[in-house]
Amino acid sequence: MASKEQPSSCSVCGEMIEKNSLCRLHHLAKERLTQGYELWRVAYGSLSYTDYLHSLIALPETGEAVAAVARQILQKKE
Amino acid sequence: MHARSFKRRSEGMTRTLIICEKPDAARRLAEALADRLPPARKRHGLRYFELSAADGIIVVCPVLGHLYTVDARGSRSRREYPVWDFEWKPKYQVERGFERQEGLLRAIHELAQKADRFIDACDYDIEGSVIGYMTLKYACGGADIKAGRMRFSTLTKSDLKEAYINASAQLDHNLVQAGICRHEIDWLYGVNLSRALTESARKSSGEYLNISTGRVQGPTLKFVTEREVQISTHVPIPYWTITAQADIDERTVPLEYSKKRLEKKIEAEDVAANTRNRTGRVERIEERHVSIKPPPPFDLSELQSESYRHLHLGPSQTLRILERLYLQALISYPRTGSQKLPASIGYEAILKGLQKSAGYRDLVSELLSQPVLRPVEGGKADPAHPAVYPTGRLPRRLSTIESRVYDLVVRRFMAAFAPAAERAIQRATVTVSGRYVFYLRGSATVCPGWMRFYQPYGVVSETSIPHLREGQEILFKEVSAVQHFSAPPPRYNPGSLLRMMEHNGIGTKATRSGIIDLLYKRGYVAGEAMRPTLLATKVIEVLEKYCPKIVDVSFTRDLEVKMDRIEAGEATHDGVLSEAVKQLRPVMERLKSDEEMLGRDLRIAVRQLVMEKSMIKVPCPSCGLALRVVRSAKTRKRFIECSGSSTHQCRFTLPLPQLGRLEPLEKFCERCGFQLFATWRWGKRPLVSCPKCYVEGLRRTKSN
Repeated sequence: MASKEQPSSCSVCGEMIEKNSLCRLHHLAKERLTQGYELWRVAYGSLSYTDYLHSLIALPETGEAVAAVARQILQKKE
Repeated sequence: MHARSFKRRSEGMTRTLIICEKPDAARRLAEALADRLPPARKRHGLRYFELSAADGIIVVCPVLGHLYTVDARGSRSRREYPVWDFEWKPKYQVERGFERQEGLLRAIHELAQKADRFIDACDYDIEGSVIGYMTLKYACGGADIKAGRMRFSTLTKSDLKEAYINASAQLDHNLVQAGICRHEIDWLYGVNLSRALTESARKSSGEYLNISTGRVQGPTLKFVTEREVQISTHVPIPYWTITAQADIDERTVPLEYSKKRLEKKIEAEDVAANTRNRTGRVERIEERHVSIKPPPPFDLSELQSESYRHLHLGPSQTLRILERLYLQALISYPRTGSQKLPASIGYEAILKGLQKSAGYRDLVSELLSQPVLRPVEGGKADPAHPAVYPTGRLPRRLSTIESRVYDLVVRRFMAAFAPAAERAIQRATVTVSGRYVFYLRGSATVCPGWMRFYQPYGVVSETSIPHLREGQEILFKEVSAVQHFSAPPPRYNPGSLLRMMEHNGIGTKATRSGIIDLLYKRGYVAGEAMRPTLLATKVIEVLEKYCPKIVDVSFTRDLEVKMDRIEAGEATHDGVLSEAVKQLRPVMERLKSDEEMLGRDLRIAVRQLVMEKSMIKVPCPSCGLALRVVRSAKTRKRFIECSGSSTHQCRFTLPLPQLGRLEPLEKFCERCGFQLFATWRWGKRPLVSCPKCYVEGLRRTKSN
């Protein structure tokens, strides 16, 4: 039986993996991204995750690592 | 020699050798102790002064900073680590560029042989004490045990004379031991950790790049990289503010909603919809007066911060200017941690001195007309020196930037004696439909007090509110909900990083600005808003992985506290040093055993930085590819080569100067547009040249 191979480097930047296929920086960025979605939903009443990610990418205040993770999630969805 | 000394003593003539830290200080001291400045004498390149005084002959000689430094015992390779065995050696034997000091040491040694009394008159702080002690111990044949110590905070004649008369019979040994211990611990940490990083990266990448870190440098760099992680992982959160305007007495005034920040869009829109074009009622008008005390006198850190804020000068630049002002006897010793001005400095005499300057005359006259002169003081104290203050001597010739720093010091000093300022704070509470609360705020200076003395540095905004009465109705004209997003924290700048270091108790007032400069020099940070490079991120990552203690602020702070305890006489040099070595040994053992992995982690960052440093910003004129600086493996000569030399067979090359440190500049040749290079050689001005024009010049000469 063929086992699914774990990636050896971060799927965003190619650095060494820390957790969930991501390096330390991008793992932290993804955590913050998830926490942020709850705050955005409360702020706007209702908001889809995709719209949230699109909005984040467009904002200049968004951190580079967060924007990179958001872009990758959107790419996977497409 | 002994016979001569005996003869002099028997004649009642002693020969005193005074060691000063800098040539300017030596000149000022000689001028203060003699009726007239004697001509400078010269011996092996050392300019010193010899003068006759009532108690004999005084020889005043300067040293140029540290003449001795810590180095590995014996002559071992500079690549070897760990190194635990060290000794103090003349600096010229250890570091390049200090060859001149050999002559100075010989001159001091000869002068010391003729002297029978010794006084250390170096700056009264840790560094000055180490400089004086080492010179007396090694260059003056063990004179440290019989030397006295002069203690002064300004280089004015009166202070220097008093310090000479009241010189203590011995050196401040606690301060000396604390300084020696600091140097030795910093050397052990710096050399071992830096060699481990540099060597592991060199072995792995094949590139030599000086990757330094140290006891204070590591945690400081970590502040910068941690901030970058915060910025890079920042998720902006939306929030809303309400902007409102109302017409009152034919004037449109802004109102502030009671909640500064609304977290929900629906709430913000509700406020805007239900208050726009509605009438509000003035419920309350309050006014209170607040008294604002003058800011405390300057300690070095606060002065560096204020200089960065108002004059845009970096901490090191400010310190250099302050040192120049101190050496001209215009201000007191700047490397101080004190915010106190003791009465012994003579407030009135200083102010009377400043009164002679047209720019300060009226303000000083006001201060002198007060019944008592009592300055405001801050909480920080320094047993060695008071806060920074002007001496009252007026400057003759200062550069523009020196005058501005001097003005800042003078105005802060004057402000400390001025009365408190008084501000009237007004607030009118306006409600709409009894639910929505807005404020109309105003503030005005009733009595400027110290603010007038500290202008233009202590300016506050003045906003007045129109005349209102309780129960009055006002019409809300424009009300809107404005959407914002939370911003990431700002990057550190040299001023804010210095404050962060001070807040965390790492480094000393004398070393902090130098460590910030080093971060730039090593290619760890770039830009005024300090952005860490890939190398910085990797170095911190590696240190956190293999030796987290080294970049832990609390570890560094604990060591600082222990070293401070030596100064206070509560701990010994040997005890603190052996404890520091005990902590470092296991760290170095781990780094040595993991050298290969460490190198692998640093390899990419090192290659990238070396590549960036070697790349030239102008493309190859022959094929358009990038140009780079390379060194021939055969001749070891450096030159410019096209990066397409192997792939595109481009043969474009340009020669470069072979001697000195080469630095590509961010400037371009006015004639041909090629990038300019600076070549730095010791004791010479940097040579700025255009390699392309140089070759064309050679060709023209040949063809002629």
